[in-house]
Amino acid sequence: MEPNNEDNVSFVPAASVPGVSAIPPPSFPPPMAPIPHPPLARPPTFRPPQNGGAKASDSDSESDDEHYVISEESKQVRERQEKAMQELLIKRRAAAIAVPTNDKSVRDRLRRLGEPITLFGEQEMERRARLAQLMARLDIGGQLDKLLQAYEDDAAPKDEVDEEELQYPFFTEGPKELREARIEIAKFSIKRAAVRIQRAKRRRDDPDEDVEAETKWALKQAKGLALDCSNFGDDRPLTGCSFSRDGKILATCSLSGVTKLWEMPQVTNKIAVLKDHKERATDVVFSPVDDCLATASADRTAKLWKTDGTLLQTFEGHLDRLARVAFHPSGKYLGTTSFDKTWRLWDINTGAELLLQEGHSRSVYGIAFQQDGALAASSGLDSLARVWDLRTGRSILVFQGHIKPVLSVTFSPNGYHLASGGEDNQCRIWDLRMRKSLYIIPAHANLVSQVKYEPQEGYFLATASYDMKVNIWSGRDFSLVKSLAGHESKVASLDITADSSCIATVSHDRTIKLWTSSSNEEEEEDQGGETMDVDL
Amino acid sequence: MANERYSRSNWDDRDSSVDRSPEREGRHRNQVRDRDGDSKRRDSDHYRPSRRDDREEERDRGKDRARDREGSRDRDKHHERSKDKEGRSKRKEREEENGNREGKKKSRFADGSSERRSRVEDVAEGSGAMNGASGVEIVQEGAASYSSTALETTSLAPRHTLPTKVSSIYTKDENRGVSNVRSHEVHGKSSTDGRTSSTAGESSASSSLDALAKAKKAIELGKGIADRFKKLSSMNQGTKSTSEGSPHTRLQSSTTTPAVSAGTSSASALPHAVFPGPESTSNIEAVRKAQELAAKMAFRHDPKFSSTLNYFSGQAPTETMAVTQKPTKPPVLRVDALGREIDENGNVISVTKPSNLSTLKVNINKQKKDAFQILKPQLEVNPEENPHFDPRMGIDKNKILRPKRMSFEFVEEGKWTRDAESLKLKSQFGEAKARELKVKQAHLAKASDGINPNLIVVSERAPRKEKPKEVIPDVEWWDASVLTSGIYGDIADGIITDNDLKIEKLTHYIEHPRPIEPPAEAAPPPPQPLKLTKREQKKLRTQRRLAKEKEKQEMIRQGLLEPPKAKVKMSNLMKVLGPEATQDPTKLEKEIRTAAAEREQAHVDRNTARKLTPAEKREKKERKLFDDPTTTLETIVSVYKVNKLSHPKTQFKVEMNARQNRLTGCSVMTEDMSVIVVEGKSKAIKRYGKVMLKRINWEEAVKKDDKEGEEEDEDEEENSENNKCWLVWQGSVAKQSFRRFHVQECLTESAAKKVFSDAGVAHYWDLAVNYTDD
Repeated sequence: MEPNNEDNVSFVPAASVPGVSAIPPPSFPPPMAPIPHPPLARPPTFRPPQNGGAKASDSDSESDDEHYVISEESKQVRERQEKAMQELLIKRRAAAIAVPTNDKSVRDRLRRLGEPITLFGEQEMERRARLAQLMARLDIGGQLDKLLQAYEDDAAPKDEVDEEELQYPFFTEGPKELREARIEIAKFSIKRAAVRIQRAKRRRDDPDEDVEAETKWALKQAKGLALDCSNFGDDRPLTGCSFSRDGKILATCSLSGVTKLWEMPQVTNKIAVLKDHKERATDVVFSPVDDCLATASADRTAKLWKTDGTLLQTFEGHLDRLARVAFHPSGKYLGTTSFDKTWRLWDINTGAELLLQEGHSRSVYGIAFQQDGALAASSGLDSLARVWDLRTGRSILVFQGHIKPVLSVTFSPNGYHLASGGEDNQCRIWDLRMRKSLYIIPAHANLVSQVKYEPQEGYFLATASYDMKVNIWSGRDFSLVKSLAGHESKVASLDITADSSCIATVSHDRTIKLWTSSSNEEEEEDQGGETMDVDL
Repeated sequence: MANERYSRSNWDDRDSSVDRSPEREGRHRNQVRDRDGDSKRRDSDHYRPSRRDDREEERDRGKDRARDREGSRDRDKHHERSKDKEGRSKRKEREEENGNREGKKKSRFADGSSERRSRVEDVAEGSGAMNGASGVEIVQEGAASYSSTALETTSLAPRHTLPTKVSSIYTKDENRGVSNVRSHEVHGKSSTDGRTSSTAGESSASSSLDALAKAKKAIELGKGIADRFKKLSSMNQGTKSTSEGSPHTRLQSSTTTPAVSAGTSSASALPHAVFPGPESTSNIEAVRKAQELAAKMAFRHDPKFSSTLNYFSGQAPTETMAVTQKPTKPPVLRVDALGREIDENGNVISVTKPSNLSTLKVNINKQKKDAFQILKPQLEVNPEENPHFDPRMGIDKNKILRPKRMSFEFVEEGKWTRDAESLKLKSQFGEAKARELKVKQAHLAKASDGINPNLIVVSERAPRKEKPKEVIPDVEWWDASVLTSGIYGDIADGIITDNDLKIEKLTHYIEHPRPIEPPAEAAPPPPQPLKLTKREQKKLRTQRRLAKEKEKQEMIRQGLLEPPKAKVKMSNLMKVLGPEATQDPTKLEKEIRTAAAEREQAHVDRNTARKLTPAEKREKKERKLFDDPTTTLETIVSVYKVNKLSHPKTQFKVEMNARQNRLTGCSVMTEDMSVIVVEGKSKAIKRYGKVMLKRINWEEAVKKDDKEGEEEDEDEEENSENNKCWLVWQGSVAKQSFRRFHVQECLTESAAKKVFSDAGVAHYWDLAVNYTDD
């Protein structure tokens, strides 16, 4: 007894499992719980003697089966075991398969599999169990996936049909007012363009005009910009600011949804508080022709106000929150951008939506109108800027170069330069005449939130950034002129007065800061000093 | 007394182990030997600081051996008094040699113990010895004159303050002289004993044996004089013992006693010189003949044994007195009082001094380089370009190659200026860099059509300052498409009408252009796995394991699975096996232990199998270091500006960190500032930023640099305090502008800018140049 037992202990091969001779080993599932990697050497099983004695006759190897006739009894045993094995497998499978819990979908699935959806007196739970069994059986046979796939193929083709028809670019009809508006814009813009070109030529050719000196002076002024005034604008971070055309009023909007109008030059007195937006206000802009201002909000509306605080219009129609607003130079139209991937043009007098412009694959964020009024530029989170001809309604240019969302675009007063700034911390200058990128300004250490040209002649370019700075760049060679640092948080927006003597910046630190040229002040002071002397 | 001296000499050994006074050594040896001739003891006393001493020692040992063989019977202070069995001549020889040495030693001692001086003196001695050697053939002057010259040399030699190099040369000579003397001594001894200490000595010794025998005879003739010499040597001993420790008195004594003072070259020569007996002249003649013979033989065999002549010259009283000699076969170094080499006529020989050789590694390398430049011959006409060339002919191009024929070489114009320029660069930046710069300049010159950019004095800070008169089009192209006439005409003055516009183009249709996908947008994040609380996780695990266990039990119950074996341990042995355990406990225990070991092994194996392989580990680490969590396609760029990046340490750091972080870009150095641009993924850029802005100590790097440069202006020091690194800009771009990270040193700003504009990122340079620290 003892030596036999010993032999069993030491010479049991790892592959053949003694004791279960009835089932051929290949079809045998892993008997133990699966270990990540089976150990190289299985620990020899120590067989207790009483067990070993009983199984001594059973533990035959496969070769025995081949040579000896199997008795009827053992055949039955084997069959029984096989059956049990199958059942066990099915059970395990059923436990692993995701079976719908909803009775409706259970029935649906049963029907699809060609089974009776319900048996007499069958409850939901039983039905589900039946389905599970069925699915497990099919799964083992490898048929379940096929069946399900076939069903899905039946369901799918319906949606694909209308996608293929889209042939870009395609045209849709706009409202009738759009044509009138376009003609009006055309007349307005052509005239302005003609004047602009004439003026530019005169400035270039006239010996009395010293453009260089003017630029130099303007840049010197810009270099002398210093913090003049700082005041809290709201309880919440400020998002936008705008000077009125005469520079006497500064409008700021904030995340609280309130737009405030401040008296210049000290932003201590509030002229009006515009409260109607239900959600945060995202931008505010003054009309270039009259004392109106427009605000955009995340409540999907833009509103037009008078400076005394009365609401003139509400522009509804956007499907998502608005980003920026801009006035057409004629002052009759308002452009708004939205996260619904469109920008729209509104008639401020009627409040009608003239144009719903698609074309960006992502949300549209920045918008700007050319000084002539002929072109509009929109930029979006799809990292490109599009230039639209407002007269023909065509997208005439696509400027690709930014790698990340473009948050702001602005036209130069010279009419053919476009500046764009975005999340890639760059500011790119595009030439519309050459239709290419003119220069890249690696502008900031964080995203560029706002880009604005100096409104007179485009002497300089101001960029606001989330790195808490506002940088002034020369309009000629795009070198850094001045860096305005003072905000304690992200600078959300900036605006420059029409005479470019003052720059207003608003930030998430809730302050409004006014930057004015100190050299100018010095001169004034000197003059003041002289007059004092004279008086004495 | 002896003990004391012994210890003292020992102390001396320790004190100046490099060059120790041989006199003392010898004396000490004598003392020891006198006390008891135990050679072992003496050996243990010795040290071997130099080859010379070794040789000396060897000789001494040989001598000692000889003495021991003599039976070490004579333990008196003076060997002369002992009754030797050896021939007198032999003993005399030895004594002469002793005296010789003593004389040397004395003079050395008298001149003080400073190393250099003794060395110089050795030179004098050596030369004296050489003189003696060369003076074998001719006797011209009296002993007195010789002794006086000998004295002169000894007294003069220490007086010169010779440059070290020269002195070292002299040391060589001295060594030669000394070694000559020594080899002769060994030889002499071997001849006396009939033995040789070396095989080489043996052959030569046998050949010169006859000569020696003759010499010995001659010496025997003058043994009457030897008696006198005995006295003298005893006198010497006496003076030595009395004047020990006071070299001045010794010197005095040596000068007062002519015999002693003359003993510098050979003590034995003196008696003859001072008391030239009438009978000695014939002897001298005989000796001379013998010596001549010996010398010839010795020369024929080995120049090394020219030293034997020394020996005989030492023996020959008259010959030693010769100062000027006829040149003999081996080259003889003669040195005048100033230490210059002279010929036999006393004329100074000007020899190119070896001190011209530079020992600097740089120069040596340069010389090597110059020496080993191999010019490859080049084929003037490529045969393959010849239309009639047939490659099947098997003409080897390399075989046709012949060195160029001698012909005129015309220098093309501007070669020398170019050379001068390169020389200037070399002197300014060093050789290797100069070459680089030259290549770069050549490239730049090529690129700008022969205009050397370095000739332009550039202050091109602003990129577009010089703007030509801008071209203003008559009509903007977008307006032209709307206008019927295509030009503005007089619209600016008058009122626009519908006729001027292409009304048909102004429609109410809205265009829907094809939306363009953003270039580098982050892929939508993968669905987050279901987050479970700790409790839920535990619960799930328990359930899972229970289910598994249940299933297993089920299988066992149905007979599908073999029930697991009972786990037998030493602790539960009795419980599991019961009475069985007691039957063969030893075997059982063994089994249990092996089973346990295997269980443990299985456990360990499972764990190791679960471990990551080294490759996987590396991959994981790499993933951790370089994988971008956002998986965007954008490339982040950082532009740094550094005042001074000249220190190689910082340069290395800047470059190596960029390389190791797998960043591309460039580091461009000019004299005023350096701009470093790196492009890469966010993690690497972040790491690099930390290196640049925090970890590198910029100020210190420059300070050290200044220190190395030694004299720097104060402005420089001020600059060094300001040395800083700024992050000029950081942002994202679509594509990398550089293919790898390279470092470039530019002489001018325009060249530096060119590096950037070539990569299409000139604005980085503009920005960095214009950047000012607020």
